[in-house]
Amino acid sequence: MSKLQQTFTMLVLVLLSLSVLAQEPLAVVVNKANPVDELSRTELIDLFMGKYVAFPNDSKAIPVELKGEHKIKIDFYQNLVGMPLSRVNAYWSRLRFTGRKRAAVFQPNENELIAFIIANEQAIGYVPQSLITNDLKVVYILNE
Amino acid sequence: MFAQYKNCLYFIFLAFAAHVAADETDSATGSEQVQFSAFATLGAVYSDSDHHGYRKSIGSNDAVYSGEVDLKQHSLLGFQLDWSISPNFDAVFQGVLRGLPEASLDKYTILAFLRYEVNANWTFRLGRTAPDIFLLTEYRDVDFSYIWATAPNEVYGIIPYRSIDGLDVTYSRRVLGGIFKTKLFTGESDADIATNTIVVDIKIDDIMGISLSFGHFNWIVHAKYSQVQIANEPGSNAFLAAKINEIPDFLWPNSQDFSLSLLLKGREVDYSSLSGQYLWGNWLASSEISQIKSASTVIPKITSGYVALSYQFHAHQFYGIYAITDSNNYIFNEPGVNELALKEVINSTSDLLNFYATNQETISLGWRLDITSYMAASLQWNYTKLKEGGSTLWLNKPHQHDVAENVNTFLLTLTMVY
Repeated sequence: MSKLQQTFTMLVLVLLSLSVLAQEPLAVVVNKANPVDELSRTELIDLFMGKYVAFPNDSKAIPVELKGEHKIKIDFYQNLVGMPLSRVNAYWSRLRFTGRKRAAVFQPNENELIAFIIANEQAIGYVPQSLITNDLKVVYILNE
Repeated sequence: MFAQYKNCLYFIFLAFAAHVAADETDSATGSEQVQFSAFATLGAVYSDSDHHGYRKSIGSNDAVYSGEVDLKQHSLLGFQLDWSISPNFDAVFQGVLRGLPEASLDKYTILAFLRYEVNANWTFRLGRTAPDIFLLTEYRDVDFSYIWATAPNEVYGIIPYRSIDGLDVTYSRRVLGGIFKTKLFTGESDADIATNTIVVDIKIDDIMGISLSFGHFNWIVHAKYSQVQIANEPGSNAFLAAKINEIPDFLWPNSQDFSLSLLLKGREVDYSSLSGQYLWGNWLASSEISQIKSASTVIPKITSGYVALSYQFHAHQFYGIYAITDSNNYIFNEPGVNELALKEVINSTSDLLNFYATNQETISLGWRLDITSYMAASLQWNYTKLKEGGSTLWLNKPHQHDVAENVNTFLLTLTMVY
């Protein structure tokens, strides 16, 4: 196989895997000890768009974000609020640079994000459904 | 009362910033304890008037006249440090470098506050915060955060304040399926107001404000009201008042009473604003109406507002804005004054009492392109109809203040956040 063919094959595989990942439902998860069992879409929007950063029982929440332009992050916001990441970032820059909201907690990848949620009872984040473990509690499924 | 503590507070923040050369990590939670972020705008402006110089706000002593391409009016660089001290306690410092008539660390510092989140409902902030006077006054310099190349000058150009030193408390809760928020704030502030020849430092204190909002994700309404007291006497007002005070009664009856009406110190100024936004599909509509009222004759009642509509098509956003500002002009008509003998003083009085008069309307059309998720470019055309005696928002060449003119202004901005 020539180098060009190899590159082409790799590219197709990457695109296919991204496509599979995009189609996979995203689960919104919390710490297993969190008493909240489910969230409505509105509550989820309020939480991740910084409008009311609390669970339905009014206890404070810590939303956990993936750093940068992660594919999961792009899919999550497109599904949740129908906005591209640029508009979500514009919206968040308003909250952040006015000092209205505390800076979100950012993690570099899904594994670190999951580890953070397992270690923090108030944390909430989103991961592909295939990454859910027994240490996490699913409170909402997106893109099902 | 906050003035004596603010330098100390900045020092603590700066000492801290120097100490934190790199992000630290909270070993207990695995999250970053200190986060660094930044925003920037590179903005070019072209305007076609020989008489009225375009400026972003009345705080600028520099302006753009016909034949010039300016890079200073809109360009800025902001950076921010967020220090998460504990789950309920954090500190924020923000500095914004931009063109200022009289630069200082104090004026570059926009945010420097400590925040205590009692629970999900109550938050307290102490220190320097952004002014929540009108809808965009908190974030008008964070150009990436809104679609337009700049916030409408008709509403925002007259507000020079960028921060308030004081205290605020915010209460939020879910009501009727939406989020209700109210914020009470108090403190003091100061800002420069510039003319073609002088820069005046205006201090305000006893600020008492309330900001209310209610909305769902796709719509929101805001109501804001602030009351402030002017804490110092601008030199130009004091000079003219003293001059009129000396005029004998046979030339200007009751000149003493009139001269007192020119003084600003201790006068109250009220700011109010009602605004709303509605998002449906790719469309976003927003509108705001604001009013400035004062007990002083020097500051007339100013009513301003705008309506805006934008449409998103993939990475492109197309928008239009119509903005207007209106206030009464002062025409000298004091009874019994010998106008022939006092022509110069009368002209100065008319200039002073019309200094804050804004009368203009602008139609804007623009296009924003999101280059990446963190960078955007905007191109905006403003067509402004300046009415006679209403060009306060512009820097006027001497004796051109009263001239009506239609002005085209083009803005090209590259904005980013990090």
